[in-house]
Amino acid sequence: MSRMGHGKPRALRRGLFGSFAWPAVACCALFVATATPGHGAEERGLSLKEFARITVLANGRKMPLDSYARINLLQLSGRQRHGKESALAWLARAIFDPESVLDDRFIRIDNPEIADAVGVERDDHRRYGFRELAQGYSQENNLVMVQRIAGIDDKERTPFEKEFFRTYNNMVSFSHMMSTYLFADPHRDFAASEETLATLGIETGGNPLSALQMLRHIDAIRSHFPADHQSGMDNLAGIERDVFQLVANLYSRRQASHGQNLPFEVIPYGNEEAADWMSPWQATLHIGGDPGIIDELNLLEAMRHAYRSGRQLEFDRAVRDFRKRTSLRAGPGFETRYPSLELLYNRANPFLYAKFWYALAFLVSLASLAFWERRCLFAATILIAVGLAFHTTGLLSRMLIMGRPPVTNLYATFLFVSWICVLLGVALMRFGRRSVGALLASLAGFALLMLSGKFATEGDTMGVLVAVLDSNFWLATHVVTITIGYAGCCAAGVVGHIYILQALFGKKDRARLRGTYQAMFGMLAFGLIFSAVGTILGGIWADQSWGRFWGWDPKENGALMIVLWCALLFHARLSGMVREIGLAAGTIIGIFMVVLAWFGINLLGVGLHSYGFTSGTAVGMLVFFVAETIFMAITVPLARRRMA
Amino acid sequence: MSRLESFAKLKLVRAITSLRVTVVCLACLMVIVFWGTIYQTDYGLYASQQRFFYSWYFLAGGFIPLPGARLVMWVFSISLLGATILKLKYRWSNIGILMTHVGVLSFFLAAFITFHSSQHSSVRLFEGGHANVSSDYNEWELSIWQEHSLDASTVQRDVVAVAGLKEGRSWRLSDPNCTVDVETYYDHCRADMGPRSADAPRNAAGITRLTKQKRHTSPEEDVPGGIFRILSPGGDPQRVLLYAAEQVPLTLEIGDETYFMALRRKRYELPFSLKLLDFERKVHSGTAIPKSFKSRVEVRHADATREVVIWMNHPLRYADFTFFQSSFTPDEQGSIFAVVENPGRWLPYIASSTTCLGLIVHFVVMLVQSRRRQARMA
Repeated sequence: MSRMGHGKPRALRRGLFGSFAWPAVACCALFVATATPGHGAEERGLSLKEFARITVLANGRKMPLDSYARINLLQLSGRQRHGKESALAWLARAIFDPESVLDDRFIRIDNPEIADAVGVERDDHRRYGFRELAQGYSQENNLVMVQRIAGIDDKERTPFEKEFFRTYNNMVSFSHMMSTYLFADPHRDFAASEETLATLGIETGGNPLSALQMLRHIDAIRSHFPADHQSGMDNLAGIERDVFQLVANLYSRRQASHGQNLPFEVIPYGNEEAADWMSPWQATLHIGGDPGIIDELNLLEAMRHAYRSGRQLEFDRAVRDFRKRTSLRAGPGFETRYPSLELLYNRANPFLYAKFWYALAFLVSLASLAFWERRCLFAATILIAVGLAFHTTGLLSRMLIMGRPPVTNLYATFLFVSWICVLLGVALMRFGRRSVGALLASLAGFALLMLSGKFATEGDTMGVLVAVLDSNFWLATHVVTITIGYAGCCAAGVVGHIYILQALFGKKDRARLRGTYQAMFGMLAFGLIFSAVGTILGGIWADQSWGRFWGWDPKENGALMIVLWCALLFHARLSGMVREIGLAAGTIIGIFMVVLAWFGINLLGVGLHSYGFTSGTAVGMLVFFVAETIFMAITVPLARRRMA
Repeated sequence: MSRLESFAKLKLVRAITSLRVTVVCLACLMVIVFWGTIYQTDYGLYASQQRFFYSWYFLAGGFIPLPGARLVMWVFSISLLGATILKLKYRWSNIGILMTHVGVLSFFLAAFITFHSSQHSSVRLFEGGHANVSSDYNEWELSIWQEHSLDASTVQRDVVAVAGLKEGRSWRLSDPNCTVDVETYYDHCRADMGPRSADAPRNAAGITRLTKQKRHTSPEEDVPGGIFRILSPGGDPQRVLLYAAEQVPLTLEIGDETYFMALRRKRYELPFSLKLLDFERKVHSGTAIPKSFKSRVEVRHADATREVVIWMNHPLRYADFTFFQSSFTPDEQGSIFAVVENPGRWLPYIASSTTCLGLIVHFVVMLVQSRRRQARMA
């Protein structure tokens, strides 16, 4: 397509990058606007703005409570919101007022057979309440089933067993979450006679004591602890007997590491070198003697009290005091890297907006094929620019929060590959292939970001890395290069589709077809170079960490297949074994290779690189392969006949 | 016409250096790589390497011979070499292509040298322990020695070791003066104790019977065992049973002397001795996700010592040897190192940089050319 404009709008003639500047600025403003704290007043009339900033340790990393809530809700229900309620509001109810969440339907079960097995009615939205499930799971036959599945190796489990067990584990971890305030609840193990309580100076209103109350009055309890306690309970009576019983019960829980799995690790302990975080219950049992810790536990209790009685000021004061005290006591090493940025990232959801703008851009680019070509392409350019601005902001935020290169896990590869595809599309637009570039950028950006969502439900998308991956240098070189290679091959495949369709349905415009062909050729060369360099860098990393450059490991083989396929295409084209249409079909097969190397290999579950997988992906892949094969089988022969 | 040109015109040479051969080789490699990857799911990496990648050919469905990666790579490298010398046009605009092809050729050279001369083994050390040998992953040897030391990690003097154990093989040794015959040998077997019959072979742990087992997909997990016949001149033949998992060596009289015998992993002598000072394993707090494995070791060469820290992605390099932090013992008191001896270990690096540079140069050349063409057309 010629770039010479006759009477184009002025903005068009200024060049694409001129027009890229203002939407980017506007978009950043929008990003900040949507993310302004206080957006969306929380239910119960209580603002959780301060509460969101409490630092908690989960999955091996420190994060603001807002992220923690989202990750937990995502794991349980596959969503980041519970109806109209934010994840944080849901979490607050779960820990401060567990009774109120018992009947909410948020536990996701994909396999309806589970509902039948536990005796609850099937739900079209695939979400169930904790209480009904708990009743079902506590039936004897189901408990036996759980035990039986626990004894089977995960690989050997049937899909039903997997889902049954996964749901059970989710229930257990949620019940742990609801027990966060175990430390402040009266417990029958800590019951004492009224006389004893009066002597100790404790007012409980007839209830048993809580562990926290015992800590508060530890001096009084200590002073009444029987001096002659070696001979055991039988020789004691009255207050001494009560006090001995209380201390013994508290101590035995500590010995039995009771409640070790309770979540909500918000109390930092230890030093920066050997940082350790404890849940309130663990802190009560293990470091409760420390007056600073008792203060923090008191503040947690005050938080719950204020929450339940709906007093915003008190609640915020308790939260702020708690944050101040923990950070003062623990020191700077316990802070998260950019807590405000992470909150902003969570609220703004930049990739959702990017997806939206790309989708819009794709529709407009399609429209440009039918009418108002210039105007539509101009609009598409702006829409893509807005999407790209969101996309870039999201990627940069993740990098800053994690302090890592953009790609650290499977989810992040989708974000990055789509970003590169969009950039490649933009580059094509810059080099005069405007239509093809706009289609590539918008379609690849949208489709890959959509796919990324499928890989985010496994929990924290910014989780810690295992030891062998923990190298920013290699992540930044090998991983980034190879994913750029994936992007290049994907982009070539998308342009390949466009080429075939153009050859089949387009006007007989040789120059235009030639332009698309060159774009495809360029993308493929780009893909080959980055895949080859990335594979080689991978070999060097392997040589550095395992002592062999090449070991025929599945992931290595996957990358090699991409390189071999691209090299084969170029040599086949050079020798005349395939023509333009053949090369286009080849780039589509190239996408197969990328899919195999990218996440198909993980299906095998062997090798040094394999990292977790869901069987739904296998079906998706198969459908994709079959659909593409049918597409090629129909279009390629027809296009060849038309070209001839 | 120069001699080279007329050589290039020969029919056979033209056929071998043609692009079709390249395409066919690439296609064959793709099939082999794909098949070999899928094969790993059921049979493991080792079996897949042996069948598809290190072999000249393999049998599909048990009777159709197909080329293995080794054969394809030989054909490919000959074709590539020929094409690089005879067919590629030596001009500036082709420099990227030339470099890439030379780079790929050096990969083949690197693969050849690594395949034929590199040695992979491992060293397992407990804190405070030291070693001057490393042991093979898959090969076992029968060793006989006189001076028994309890430290199993160091080289013992006066050791005779025979490797390549196989049923029916026989060795004639001079010191001790005897013949060793392999009566039975299993690559992987189970040992049973039971009542001893009069003709049962001798064994230090009281094992009386070995039962052959199916081999593991990763052969390093196999525990071999065998029955051997030792015949010294003038003495009666002695039958001994050795099992690889035994802790104590067998004591044996040969001639007038006492010897010790054991079946153990084949050993390689290291040019220095290694002592583990400290092993440390860290996890991300609150999880079981490993954060780092780190070993502090002391390297002793002659009388000079130095301390080295080996951790993930940071191996110890010494002459042709490289030591990698590979694993640790379940009690976290011991560290396991992978040891690689590879005289051509720098070759892949040369090949890598040549190939990468070539690809990038060619891409830039292409880009510049295409821009120029566009400018001309406009």
